[in-house]
Amino acid sequence: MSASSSPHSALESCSVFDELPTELGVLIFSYLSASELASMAAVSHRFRSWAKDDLLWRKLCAADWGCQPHAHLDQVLPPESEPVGCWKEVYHGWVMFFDGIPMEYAQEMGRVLRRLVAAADAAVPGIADTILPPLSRDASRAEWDVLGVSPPMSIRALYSWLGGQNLGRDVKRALEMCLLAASDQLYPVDIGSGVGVGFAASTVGGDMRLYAVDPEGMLVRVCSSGLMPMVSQVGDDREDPLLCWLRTYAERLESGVFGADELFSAGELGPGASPLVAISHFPQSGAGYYEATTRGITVGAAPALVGDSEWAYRITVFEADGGAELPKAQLTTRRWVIDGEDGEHDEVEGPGVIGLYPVVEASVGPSRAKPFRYVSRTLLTESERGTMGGAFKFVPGTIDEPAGEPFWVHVPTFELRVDDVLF
Amino acid sequence: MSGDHDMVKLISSDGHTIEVPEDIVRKSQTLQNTLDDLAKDQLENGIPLANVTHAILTKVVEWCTHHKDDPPPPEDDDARTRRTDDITPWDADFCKVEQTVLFELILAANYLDIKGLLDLCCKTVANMIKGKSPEQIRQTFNIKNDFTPEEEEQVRKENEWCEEAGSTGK
Repeated sequence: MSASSSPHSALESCSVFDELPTELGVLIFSYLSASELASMAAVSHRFRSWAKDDLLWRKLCAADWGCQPHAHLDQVLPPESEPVGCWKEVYHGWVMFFDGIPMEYAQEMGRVLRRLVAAADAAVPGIADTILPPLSRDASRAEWDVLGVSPPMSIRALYSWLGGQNLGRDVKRALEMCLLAASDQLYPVDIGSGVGVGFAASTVGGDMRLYAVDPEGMLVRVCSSGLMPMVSQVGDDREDPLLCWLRTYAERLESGVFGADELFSAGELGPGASPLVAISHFPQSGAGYYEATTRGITVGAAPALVGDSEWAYRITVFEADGGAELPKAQLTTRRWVIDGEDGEHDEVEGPGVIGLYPVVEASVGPSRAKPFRYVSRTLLTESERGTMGGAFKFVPGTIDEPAGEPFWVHVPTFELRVDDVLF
Repeated sequence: MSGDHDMVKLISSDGHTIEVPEDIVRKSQTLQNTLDDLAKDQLENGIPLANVTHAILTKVVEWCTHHKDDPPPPEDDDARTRRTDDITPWDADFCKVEQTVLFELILAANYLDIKGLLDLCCKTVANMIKGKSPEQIRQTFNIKNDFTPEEEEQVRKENEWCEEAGSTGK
């Protein structure tokens, strides 16, 4: 930008900044980053005093480190910090806390995690309260030493922001939900090509799946219960794979692809229990969720990869939005057509689904009947990807007391394929 | 001008009077308050602007006219982004002026309380600053280095954590 007036003019000793009141100088500085402010401080006394402005640093702390701008200084410091007297020192404290991790990476990890926790808490209220504060640096170093693992930078950044999730006593059950970040028992994971570092877990279709970062931090791997590497295809060379995984998870929660699901009803958990609600990794909307309606009966289908070429899928059968056409109908027969992209083809027909013959009833009054839901599995033995679809035969009334001719309800064809970012 | 708009007379500090449609004038919070406080007949002689020259006032009116249908800018808050790469081509052209004009626009936008224009000009200056070393900034804005060598060393030490941390990132 050509700007300055001639340096040889009579105004040589004047700068346009001379007449600028402090508040406006600070306003200009509010568009600068912390490191740019550091450069400003070295220009002149006046710039140095502007670049010290406490409100500027408060905004920077909020934007870069997620500090609550109206909290007391003691409450926005990283763990184990000495008390400080101004926001610039708070900022400095965070930079020191993430020593050895590029500042912008640490900041972005923090932003993604705050977004993820907020989205998870919106889906299942209370999740935010289970997130533990990070370990102190000494404690964390000691822990890694005991484990004999040198964590890659992405994992160090993650565990500097939070200390995992407090699962309470119900660890096994809690693993039914996806952990936002693992408790310490998930740290080292044998991923086949060395020791990776686990950071999250979930179950889909009954198997626990661990998510681990490889020793170099270049890949996020998904391991089934056997801790064997399943897929190592997350991220690309333009983005850190762990950040990519966490961000995608947050996006799917925000867009409703993932959401809360009742894993166990109160009845299943015994007297006095409340139902266990957790985040489900079967897509509930968007890409990956399929739906079809026939004669007022809707069938929803959602697949998820669980192991080498093995897929879990969740089927939901419920009264369509406009109401069921028949007062009552019962499922008698299932028919599946499975196609692999390399030509494999399988057709299955048999009685019921998972040994059950669910009944769909038209709702009476405002309350609608609970959907019937089940999870099952299928294998693609020769192909990397394929499709699955079919139909359920229903009889009007019940099997014992039929009230008409049986009819087929379409089951939407869903894709069995590996996402770029696996869940 | 057509009779669709009430015209308001504005008198610049160097004594020029210009007539500006009232809806444009109301982009300035300061003038909006003046308009609301004064009776119609009190406005007959025009509103004197002690701190704005004719040349700058013309630029301000040009900006307000182009942006007359903009929604009001959001309130300032701590989560405000520091983005400076979101300047529209028209605004960028508008700001291609001499430094002195740009800074007079900042003062005028502040005095007239036109937040959108103030933000634009401050962003433009911030963009002139970004990526420059302290010495380059002194040259660009003709700023005198008033530090002693000792002070310079002290400032450097005070802020080295920040520069290093910044340079290790992308």
